[in-house]
Amino acid sequence: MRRPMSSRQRGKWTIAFACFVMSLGWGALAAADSPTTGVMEFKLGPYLPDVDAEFGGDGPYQEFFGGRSMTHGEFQLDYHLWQGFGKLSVGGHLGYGRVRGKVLAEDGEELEAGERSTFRIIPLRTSLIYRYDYSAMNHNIPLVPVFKAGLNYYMWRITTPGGDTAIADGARASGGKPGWHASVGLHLHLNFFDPRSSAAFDMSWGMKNSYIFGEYMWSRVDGFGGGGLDLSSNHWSIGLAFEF
Amino acid sequence: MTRSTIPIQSILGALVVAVVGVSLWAPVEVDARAPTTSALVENVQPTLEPSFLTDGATVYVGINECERLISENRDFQVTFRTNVNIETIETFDGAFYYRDERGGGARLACPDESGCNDIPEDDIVRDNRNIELTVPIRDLLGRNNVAVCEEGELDKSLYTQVRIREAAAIGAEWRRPEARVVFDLVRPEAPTLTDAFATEFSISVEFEGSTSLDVERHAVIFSSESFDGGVTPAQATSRTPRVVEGDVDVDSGRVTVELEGGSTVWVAVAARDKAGNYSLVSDPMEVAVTSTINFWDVYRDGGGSEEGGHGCQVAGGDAPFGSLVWWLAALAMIAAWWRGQKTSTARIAVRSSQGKRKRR
Repeated sequence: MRRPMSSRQRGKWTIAFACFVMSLGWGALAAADSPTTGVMEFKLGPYLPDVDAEFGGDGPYQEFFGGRSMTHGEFQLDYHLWQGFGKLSVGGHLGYGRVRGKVLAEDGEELEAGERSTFRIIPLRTSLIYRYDYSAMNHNIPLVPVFKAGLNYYMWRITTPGGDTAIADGARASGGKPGWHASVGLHLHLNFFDPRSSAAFDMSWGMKNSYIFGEYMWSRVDGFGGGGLDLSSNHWSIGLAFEF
Repeated sequence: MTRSTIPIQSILGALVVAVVGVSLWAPVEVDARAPTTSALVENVQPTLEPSFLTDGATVYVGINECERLISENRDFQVTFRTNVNIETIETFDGAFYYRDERGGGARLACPDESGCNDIPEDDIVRDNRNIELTVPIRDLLGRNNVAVCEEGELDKSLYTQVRIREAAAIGAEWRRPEARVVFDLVRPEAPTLTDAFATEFSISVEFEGSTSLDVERHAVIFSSESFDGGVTPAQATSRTPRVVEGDVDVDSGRVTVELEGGSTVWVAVAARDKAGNYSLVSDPMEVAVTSTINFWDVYRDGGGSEEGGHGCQVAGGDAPFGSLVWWLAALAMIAAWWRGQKTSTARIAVRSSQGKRKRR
């Protein structure tokens, strides 16, 4: 039968626990104290444009690509406008997404030749971003909610198997679509778990805080209701963020 | 006690069987003997213009290059970069050339063996570690008549060799590194086309490959005008043959082309050897070019209203790309205004602190 802990032992454990908690907080405090300029993010996720909305449901996108999402990657660079109770930033985004599908014979049958037509987009965005990292920097809570909203401009293009821009009835399959977006994300502050590595990362690369995150975005990219190709999408993505 | 004897007929019979068996089993030397290498030579750089391919110490010459090389008596040049000082006679003892049939496998130790020809001193340049040889192609080939290019029978390897050794010490072994010119004027056997399919963007073929052993690739020959089999690719069409990807063992493939949907194309296949010689083309097939539809066709045929272009509305093709430019210009103006605001704020702060210091 184990003997209950003495008050001295409890005291030792309490002090040890306090030291442990303070050592974790040291890295976070170090990050909070050093000035930061902005954030860069890299993220990936599926992107399914709402092309078939124009056709009331099942349409050409489903027919040709089988409803497959594009693989979409994006790079974001933010600049902090204000730092206080969280951070308010302005950011620019550049992304790329692509999906390919086998061309069909005129009767709609698939061809054994397996040549592919490509539908690609290059999303450009500007955002206003609010990061609530006050608790992460001051209260040792390593979760940072991030809210973004802004304007989009998606450049799109559809190519033939030969790589040329597709043309049908004189209309070239390339253009741009403006729109807007809003997103909510949750960032996990990695400095919390390994302050020493984070400090070394800061000294070597100038990256003061590192995050892994998930984000859900609502985007409406239809020319502000102008009709035509609808590149709107609600999609999630995951990524890494580095504050410098 | 009796002595057993083996009849002489049995011995002779066994010898015949052994010789025949070995000759059937032994692999044919397809690519001729590779040029001799030596640890005394770091690099061999042959040059012959025009040629089809240079691969290490070997230059390949095919039918296409033959006439010009002989009629213009071009020079074959080769530089041996050694790791010995070859300016002394003790380490260099001449340069030579000799000829061998493809598959012959002869390796002559010049100048001691017959068949070797000396390269004159005037055509040898030695400096420090380099030996540069220049040999007129007519001398190397032993032919000066371009008719040989049309005979379709010449298939030789021509070797240039230098005799060097590492040190002046008596007894050091002579080494004989080489470079090679393969003169291959024999077309490979034609393959047989078994099936073909064409779209606007590709031609797919299935075929029985050429039986020639020196074939490296197969190629698709196609034309919008009919042609006969059994002619050279250049005689069949002015279009460049399209090489089928993969090694010589592939029996099908697809090549990228640009054709008009609904038209007709004649398709054949030919083999190509390592010297770039094409076989005569196979019997062609007449193939209808299948029209294809891509995603944009499906979208437009389904009633999609997008016309392409840039802008806030569905563009009729004349909406300016400038709408994006206006966007970017607006963002730049906002960024410049913001930066100006920050700079002004900083200047006010500096002046204020300077004012406070003066008052003190």
